[in-house]
Amino acid sequence: MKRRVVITGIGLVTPFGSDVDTFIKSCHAGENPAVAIPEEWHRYADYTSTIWAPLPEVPYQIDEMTRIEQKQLDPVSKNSIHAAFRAIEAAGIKPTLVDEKYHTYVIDAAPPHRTGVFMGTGIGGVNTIADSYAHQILSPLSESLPANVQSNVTFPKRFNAFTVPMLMPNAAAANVAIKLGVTGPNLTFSIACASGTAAIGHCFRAIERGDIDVGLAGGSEYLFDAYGTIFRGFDAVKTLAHGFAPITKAHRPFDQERSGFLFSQGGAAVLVLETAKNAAARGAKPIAQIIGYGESCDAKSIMMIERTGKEIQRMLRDTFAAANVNPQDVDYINAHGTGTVLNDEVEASVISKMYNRRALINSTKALVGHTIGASGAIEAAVTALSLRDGWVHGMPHLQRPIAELNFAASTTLQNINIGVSHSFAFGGHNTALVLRRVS
Amino acid sequence: MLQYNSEIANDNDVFSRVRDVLCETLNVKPEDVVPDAAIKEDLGAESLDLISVIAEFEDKFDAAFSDEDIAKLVTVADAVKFIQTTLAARTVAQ
Repeated sequence: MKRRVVITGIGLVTPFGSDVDTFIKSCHAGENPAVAIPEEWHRYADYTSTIWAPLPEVPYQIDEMTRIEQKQLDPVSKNSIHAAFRAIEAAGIKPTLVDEKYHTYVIDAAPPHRTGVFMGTGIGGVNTIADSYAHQILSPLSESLPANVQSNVTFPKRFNAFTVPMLMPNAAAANVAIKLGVTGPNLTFSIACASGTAAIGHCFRAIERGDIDVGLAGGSEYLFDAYGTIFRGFDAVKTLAHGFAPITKAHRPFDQERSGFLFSQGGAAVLVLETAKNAAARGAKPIAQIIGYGESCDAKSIMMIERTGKEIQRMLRDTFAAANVNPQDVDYINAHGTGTVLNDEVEASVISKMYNRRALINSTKALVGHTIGASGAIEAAVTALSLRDGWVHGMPHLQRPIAELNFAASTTLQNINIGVSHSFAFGGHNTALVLRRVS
Repeated sequence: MLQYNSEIANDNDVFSRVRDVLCETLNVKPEDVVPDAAIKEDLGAESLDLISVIAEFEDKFDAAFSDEDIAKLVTVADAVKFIQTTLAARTVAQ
């Protein structure tokens, strides 16, 4: 028999900050984090897009990570650990320090082996790769470079001996488990923009079928490098928002004048998932219930979404059938909604075929931009909070929608019981999470 | 073993800075960080901890340690002596 799975805690790191209440208020207020990209990036290339969503300084706590630990962790891991601590705090789970030397804890929401960590990341520690590579090639050369060139080269003073454990994609999940003494399944999902959704989905399945009782699940990404190389990678294939005046409003999913997504410096989200029984026994209040997860692959193109959306539709039909829910009963869709021309067109077409026309639709990327491997986890958090509170954030730049669907242009208060979060990714990966309000 | 020269250490404040690094990196008490203390045996540094210690020394003193240098770092006094020598050599070079 399937077990009921609920979300009892959320921890976030976003361009709107790392406090869940502040984040959701910023979403409801339709704030815009888009600013001009760092001036120094213009030294190295010309770009089609010129905006990004930087991350505010993350308030890492010394009891989460010491100063020394922070130097030995990529931001992907640091942000995962920070979000994990905030998530367990929100879920009423208290960490107990067990190793003073290595600064590690245990949590007792369930036995350690009945607790798992499931994290998604599109790339892993690319910031560390960039820094170490810059040191490797530039440190022997820098003194022989002309003065005007020297002032334009940036690299860490010392090669970081922890480069490998910092850059490996599984570091985030491993570090969360090490920090909190979680000895059950520890998995990393790397399917680009759908990574966070897949991590939560597979954690949901593991709890539902009885492998574990509690899971920490989410996604993390950090895409900054001193030279703007990662930004350029997305810009070079014209996936980033551009060509709109004012440029800070160029990210406009589902708008006729959309041109791409707002590049985000990064983000992280960790959710505490557990059986409803476990939550009740601990006295934890569920935020929302997860009732379904599905995935498929277009198997067509490494970057372009398949035009008919047939594998997305098949996935959604199977997912709703397994969850015993009629897609016509879905009240709220947190769309993948990148704002790229083809992606939104296909998603709008799928939505019009699969769901009731009254279903309210938004895209969290319309606000905080695209955090790649973290995006699905942040959006699952938004979906859960929307179900709990009834508030669905708007898409402030949406002026001329591409389809006659119920897009939330402004923040809306509505009674919603069933929500779905879509994530589609480079590689043709498609995923969806179905959530239900907990009364 | 190299002899620890407290006069030089005090003058240069090297010892107290080395002690700070060892306390923070190895989570040991300041009173345990004495010149004759062996970094591995007495202060409990595992091989990975030693890499952290060296990285902190390099950041704090802007010094580079070769593998040979690291192999010679047995006690706290060795670390102090090595860093003093490095700093002195840099002063002469400047």
